Amino acid sequence: MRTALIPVFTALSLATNYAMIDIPNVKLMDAFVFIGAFLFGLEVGVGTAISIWAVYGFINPYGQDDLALLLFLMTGECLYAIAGALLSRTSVARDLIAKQLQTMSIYKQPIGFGVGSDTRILLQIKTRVRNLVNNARPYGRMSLLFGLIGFQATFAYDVLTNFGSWVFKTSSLYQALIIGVITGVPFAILHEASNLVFFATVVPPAIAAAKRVGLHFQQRIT
Amino acid sequence: MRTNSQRVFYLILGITALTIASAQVGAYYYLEKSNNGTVSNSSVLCNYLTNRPTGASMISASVLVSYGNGTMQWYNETAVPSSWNAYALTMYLTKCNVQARFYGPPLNEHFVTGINGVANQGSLSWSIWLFCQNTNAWAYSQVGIDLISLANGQTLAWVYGASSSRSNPQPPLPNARTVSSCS
Repeated sequence: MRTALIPVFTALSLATNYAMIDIPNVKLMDAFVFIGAFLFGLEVGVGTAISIWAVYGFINPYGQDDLALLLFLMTGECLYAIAGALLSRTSVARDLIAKQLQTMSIYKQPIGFGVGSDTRILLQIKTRVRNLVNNARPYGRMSLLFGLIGFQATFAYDVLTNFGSWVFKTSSLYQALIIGVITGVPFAILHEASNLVFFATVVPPAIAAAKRVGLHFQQRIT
Repeated sequence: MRTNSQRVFYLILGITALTIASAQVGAYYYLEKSNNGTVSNSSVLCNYLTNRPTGASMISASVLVSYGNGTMQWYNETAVPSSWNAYALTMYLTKCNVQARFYGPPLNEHFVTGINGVANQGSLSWSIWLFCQNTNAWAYSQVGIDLISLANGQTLAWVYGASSSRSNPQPPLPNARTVSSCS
């Protein structure tokens, strides 16, 4: 069952990668790898990360990656899986998701029994607005948490892959790191900013929705 | 107790993110200010690129720079690390007096637009040639400068001259024998 999730996440990531090919370094795949690992465990995240680059590294309109760089890209992509799997084990993330689900169940409760129809409608609107505000609060915290984690994981990915693209062209590892980080910074900023937005907006509702429909932590998937 | 530890967690995350963002913005500012999109001899990148490490395995390479007006400059049998490519070698020989536009990932390539103060102008541009020892002829490089790995005893040539998309530029030496590739 868990193995079957890898091609699903890979296909989703590749489809969005090719659809967004004209926007360099702005891709949803990092968020998908993170979501896969967060919901279904490290194996799904790492499997997805490697599968994506096994295809995207070779079939790419910008050209093939050489094997050394491909290894760095795969390893870098696995950082999102590690971040997702680690975060899913923290009390911070568990508490936020529990709160989110709790808020959603309150939202589903019937409102205004035993009152007149006009009053009931008014009560329903008031309660719905209040629920909407309350509902947005844990999303706000989730956005902050996932956005910051995504941003930091992206920074680690950029440092590693920029280092990897220079490591065999320079005469020391230190040189490769410095040159890679400085020359790659315009692309890194774009990548980090876009992932901050994606992790803050796409990941929290996706995880909350998955939980709501019963796609719980990896121990539920057998 | 749990709320406090969560606050500390958020605080650490926030401070780390701010540090990363500041470092990235600083690096970007540095790149823009020192290079303005090109690599120049004022760049610290140049010092890193051309700082030869001790203990690295060395090879010797020769480079001819032909300025297109009859002036030719030979850099004979320069000892450089075997890990260098033609770009690093050119930077080293010219003391980083090279103008180049860098195309980042996924290309990671430099397009050289000027050497020793002579810059591309109109149809005049720099081209790089490889000397094929097996055929005793020059071959116009089919790959970018970053992809040219150095071999011991290799000879390269930079040629400044007219070029078009339909034909190869003029060879480094007048009437020199040329081949399409060294293999």
